[in-house]
Parts: sequence; C-alpha cells; structure tokens
Amino acid sequence: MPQFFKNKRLIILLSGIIILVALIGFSLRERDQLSWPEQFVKDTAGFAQMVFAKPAHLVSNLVENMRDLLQTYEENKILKERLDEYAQIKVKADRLEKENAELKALIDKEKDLASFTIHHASVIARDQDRWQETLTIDKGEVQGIKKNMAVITANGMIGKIKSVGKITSTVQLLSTVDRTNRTHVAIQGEHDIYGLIEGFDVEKQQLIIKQIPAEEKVEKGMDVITSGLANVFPKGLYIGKIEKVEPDQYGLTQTAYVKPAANFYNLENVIVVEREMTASEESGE
Amino acid sequence: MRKQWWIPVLVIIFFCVESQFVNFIPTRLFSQYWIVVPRFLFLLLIFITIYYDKKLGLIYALITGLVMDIVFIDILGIYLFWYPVTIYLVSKLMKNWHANLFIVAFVSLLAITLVEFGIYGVFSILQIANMPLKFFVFHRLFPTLGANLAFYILFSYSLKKYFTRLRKIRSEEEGMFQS
Repeated sequence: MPQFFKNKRLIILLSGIIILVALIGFSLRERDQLSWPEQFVKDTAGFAQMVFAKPAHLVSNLVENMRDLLQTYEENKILKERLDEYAQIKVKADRLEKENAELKALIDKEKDLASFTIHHASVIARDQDRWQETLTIDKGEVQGIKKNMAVITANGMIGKIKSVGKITSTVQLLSTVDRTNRTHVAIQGEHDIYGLIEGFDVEKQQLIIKQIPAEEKVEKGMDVITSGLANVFPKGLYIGKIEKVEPDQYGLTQTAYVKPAANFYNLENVIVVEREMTASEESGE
Repeated sequence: MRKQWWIPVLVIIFFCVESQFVNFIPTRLFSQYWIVVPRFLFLLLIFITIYYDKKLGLIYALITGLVMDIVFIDILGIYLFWYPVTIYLVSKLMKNWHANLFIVAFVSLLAITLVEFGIYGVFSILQIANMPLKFFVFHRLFPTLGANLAFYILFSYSLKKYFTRLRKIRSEEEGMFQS
C-alpha cells in the first residue's frame, strides 16, 4: 500500500480524472445562468476575438464584393424579371397588412405570436472544435439579450441563444447535434402540420423532423417555419424547405428532412429576435 | 529577456485566428461535408514543449484547455484534460527522439489524432454527439490532419527557429548566473 502512495504520477492522474468527472457533471446540469467566472472568461475572450473579427470581416466583405461584381450581369437579368411581380405583391401585402390591422383592432388585440422586436449583432467567433456548432456574438445581457431568443439572418433562422455573458453571448446553431436542441415547427401545407425538429443529419446536412402523423400529406418543397407555440420563438421565422419524406420504421409516423434556408457559414451579421408575447399569455386572454 | 513576452501574445493570436478560420474559410476551400478543425494553438503548444520548455508547455496547455472549455463548449473538463495529457505524452515521447522537423511533424499529427479521438470518445460517452465512427474518421479526422499539416509546413520552420533562439538566450543567461 505505501508503495502505491509513493507513485506521485498515478495519484495526480487519478485525482485529475476525478476532478474531470466532477466538472463535467457540474456543467452538464440544466443551468439558467453561467457562473460569474465563466462569464468573465467568456467576455474577456470575446473582447480579444472582437479585435480579430473586424479585419476578418473586412477581408470577407472585399471577397464578397468582388464576386458580386462578377455576377452583376446575370443577377440583373433575373432581378428585372422579378421586378414586375414585386409591384403586384407589394400592393397585395400592403392591402393584407391593413386588413389584418383592422381586424386585430376589431378584436382588441395588438400583439400576436408573430410580433417581435429585433437586436442586431455581429459574429465575433465560432466554435473551432465543431462538435457543438456555436457562434459568439458581440451583444450580451447589457444590451438586453436573454437566453433562448431566436437568432436569424436575412435568409432564415439559424439558431437560438444558448448562454449569455455581460457583453457577449453564445448562439447554438440549428445544426448542433444535441438532445436539448429542439424546435417546434409548422409545415405549411393546406393547413399547418406541426412537428418537432429533433436533430441534424451530419451526412446529408439536413434537419430532421420526426413524429409527423402518418395521415398528414407532407411533400417535397413545402416551407417550414417556426410555430410560435413552444413559448420560445415567435411564429413565422423561416427555416427551410422539405427535401425528403419517409415513413418511420413502424409506419405510424413520418420523418421529414429539411434543407435549411440559411447558410451556416460565413456569418457576419445576425439578428436576435425577442418575441413580445408568449403562447401561454395568449391563451390566458 | 524581452523576447519571451511574445509567447502569451502568440498564444492569444493563435486562439483568435482559430475561431475566425472556422467561420470564414471552410465551405469555399473544402467540401461542405468535411469538418476541418484548426488545431493551430495546439501545434504552438507542441512547439513550446519540444523546443523551449516542457513545464511552460504544460501550464499553457492547462490554461488554454480551461479557456476553450468555457468559451466554446460550456462543458468544463474536456480540453482541460486532453490538452495537458497529450502535451505531457509528447514531452515524454520526445525525450528519446531527436527533434528534427519531420519527426516533430509526425508526433504532432499523432497528438492531434489522440486529442480528436479523446474528445470524440468523451462526447460519445456523454451522448452529445452521435457521429458514426466511419464518418468521423473520413470526414473529420483526415481533413483536420490535412489542414493542420498544411499549417505546419507553412509555419514550422519559423516557429522552430524562434523557440530554439529563446532557449539559447535563456541557457546563456543561466550560464551567466552560475559563473
């Protein structure tokens, strides 16, 4: 026995493993808030990363501009075709919006599940280890960011706020493979079909919606948006298009694969979405 | 004496470059089904360990491991364990081998493989990642090794030169104190 205790290295290794397990256990708990040392380290690292993010964004913009210039002719042609449609749609949207406002006034309702306020933020870093796809953005608790807010780009939804520091916060992308990464969505068919995004297929780069009832008709090309029913995200954030549908192994439900509309790479500016009202508030009215 | 203050600065620069690299490079240079993980900071730690100071390398491995845990994955203890352990093994391994650039390249790739597998193992046990082993090896490990080898080829010579010079300066200073 004394022989055993003389072996210093073994003791260090063993106590190291014990500390490791304890730390993992501590940080895997469901936590609403980060402890202050974590917040401090995150913010400090975020500050250093901000310094490096600025030139990186500049270079990326430059490359982007060059490419835009090269593609201008092609794009112009397509845009001209779209322009006629646009005028019509604009008139229609204006009319519908007005109608909607009038109807809402009739039933004394100002906000609905789809209304939200936005915060602009820019991306200062990305998780380099790529197991959990996360971004760091340059807005935090001070600027009014809270946990579980949705994060979108111009093309569609990319993820949600995972944890908040004082001046930075962490965004968990939809493509993260994680048990807690669930989004309640509506598939827009003839009527809304509800489902739950339950993961990400790394090999196909597509989101997976499971547990869609077998009698619902889901087809390729249908749009998928957030449902707004889960008390987390506002309604109507665009996620992507259905790529493939297949029955599950027992034939009771269907599984749909969704191609995300937003690009998860080369992210520079994102929009954090704060919903103004929750589903429970609405049902309480 | 002044020269060694560049080590923390280098560590911070490499740390920030890694996180920018992931956001801006991947899809344009590589296939989008490949996952390329930059381990530049880890390569720097290996260079510190082999060419300058083992103890310093271990200390930096501990600190950067902790910071990476906090900043990137929100789970404490994974990098905090694997970085120092791998650096320690590297220092043990290099005791018997001559430190020329080819051997160091081989050892670095071996170390990166060990770190990747170690972290993959922990995540699999915790059931956070459910990536099949074959996909992990062909779409993650090989592209990662390739990218880091490219980085190694570009920067290894200057890093080696820098750290051997630091060591020389230090041993001269120690010699002065002894005499």
